Amino acid sequence: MTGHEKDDDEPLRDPALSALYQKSRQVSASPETDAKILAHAASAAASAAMRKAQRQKPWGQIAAAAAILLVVGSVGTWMIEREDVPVTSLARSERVELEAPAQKRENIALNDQPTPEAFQATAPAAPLEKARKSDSASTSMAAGALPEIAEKKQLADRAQAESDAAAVARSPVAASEPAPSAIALAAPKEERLKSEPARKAKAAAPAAVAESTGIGALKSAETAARMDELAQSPVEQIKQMPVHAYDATLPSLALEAWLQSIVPSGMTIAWTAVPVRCHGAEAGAMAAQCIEVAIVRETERVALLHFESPGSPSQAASEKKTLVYGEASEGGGMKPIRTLSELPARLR
Amino acid sequence: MDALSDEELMCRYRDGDTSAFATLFARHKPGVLSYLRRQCRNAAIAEELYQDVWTTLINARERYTASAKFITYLYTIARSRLIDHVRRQRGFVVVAGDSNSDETGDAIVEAPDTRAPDPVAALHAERCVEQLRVELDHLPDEQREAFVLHEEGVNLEGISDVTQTPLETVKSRIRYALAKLRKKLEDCL
Repeated sequence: MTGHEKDDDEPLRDPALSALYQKSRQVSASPETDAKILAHAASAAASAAMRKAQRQKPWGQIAAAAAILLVVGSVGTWMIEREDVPVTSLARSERVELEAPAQKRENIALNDQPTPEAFQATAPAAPLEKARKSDSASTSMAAGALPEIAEKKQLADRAQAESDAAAVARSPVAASEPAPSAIALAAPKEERLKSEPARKAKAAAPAAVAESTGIGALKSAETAARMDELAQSPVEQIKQMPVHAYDATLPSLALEAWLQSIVPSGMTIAWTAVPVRCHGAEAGAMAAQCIEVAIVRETERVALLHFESPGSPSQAASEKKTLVYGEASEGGGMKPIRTLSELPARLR
Repeated sequence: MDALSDEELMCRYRDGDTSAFATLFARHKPGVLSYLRRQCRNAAIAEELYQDVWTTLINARERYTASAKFITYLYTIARSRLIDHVRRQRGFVVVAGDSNSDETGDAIVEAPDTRAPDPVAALHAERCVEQLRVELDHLPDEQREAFVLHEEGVNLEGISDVTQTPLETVKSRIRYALAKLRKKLEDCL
């Protein structure tokens, strides 16, 4: 058996149409996605083996630890290969592009910023020629052959140091700006999906540089974080989540299933709208950011839970409006709750 | 390993055999991806959902019991992820089995006729494949889902379980899909 079940109702299958369908099948995900899935599967199996071994014998623990180390090592190696994009060399290569005048390139070579090999790897062909010439000039200066030129070099050094500082501050990969992967992780899933083409386009330039140097893709950090996130139980995460900061990357099905499991008989869950406009947001703005759920006993609303994605414009405001986000109090208002794990007790 | 059934492979993976998962993954990844792409019609989203499906399966491996057919289990996860995605995008979707909707909800928009006769067989075949894609997109969601799941190897009972639809409704949906596709693609079949 191959998993493709045969059924006895063959008239429901048209061989010619099936053949055409098989040709039309779009079958390949990106290799990165497949690699992530397989790595996650291996890591999960290794963790399970370790847990099992811990319950058994000491030699079992050693074997499981070795298995974990092997998996972590191989995944780590894979990630290092893909993540080891030297930010400085990217910044420099961008500087070379931005500060196109040949004098700048000569300055970089004079100051021996990247090694000749690194420069060769990142700079375009024409600047490479100039860099070689400058490099040889630099060598002759180091020998002290021309004191005047050496003095000029000191001045050039200073100017270059200032220029470097300014360029790093201006650089798109400067530390003040979060990495694209960090932005992607902070953003809700919908936003990430919507912005995916733009993000890919934005990342294309540095990625091209990285590929040309054989360094690899830039997405490993995102990959690792996403895998960690997915590896955890959504329900457990949901239970511990502050009500005003629902993580929109988690499945709403998990939230719904959990709510269903805790709501006592006689109460129902009503998703008033999915999604709704965030409280405090401008009309029409950020409409996809928030989820609202009411827990209802007959016609009485027992609780209104307003889940807000981290980073939405009204998140800060929402923290001050906790009365809206909790359990209904006798006075008609809402008593705040901090996390969803508090909810079951309140509903009893 | 290839000779083992899906259920045996999943049980092996549950017990820690990573190579069993690799076999299972290789066996079903095209089908799952194809199903997700057909249903959500966006390659980037389909790939994201595809990753979620497999991750969910991995995380739930310890709860897997061989009493359920693996392929049904897998496509149930895939469908849940799709519904979840649609909920986030536009609220609830009603996908309950309503056999009447099969006959009434099938207002197919006419696709541009791409069947111009071409003397080159290869080009003709290519056009047929493209036309099938177009015609599949124009099928009602329920009919396309039933047809695609059937083509991906899920049996009728399995489709009934995955879509939570009566068996006769599943058959009806597939028949309607086949009839429409045959009609539209008669030059290709």
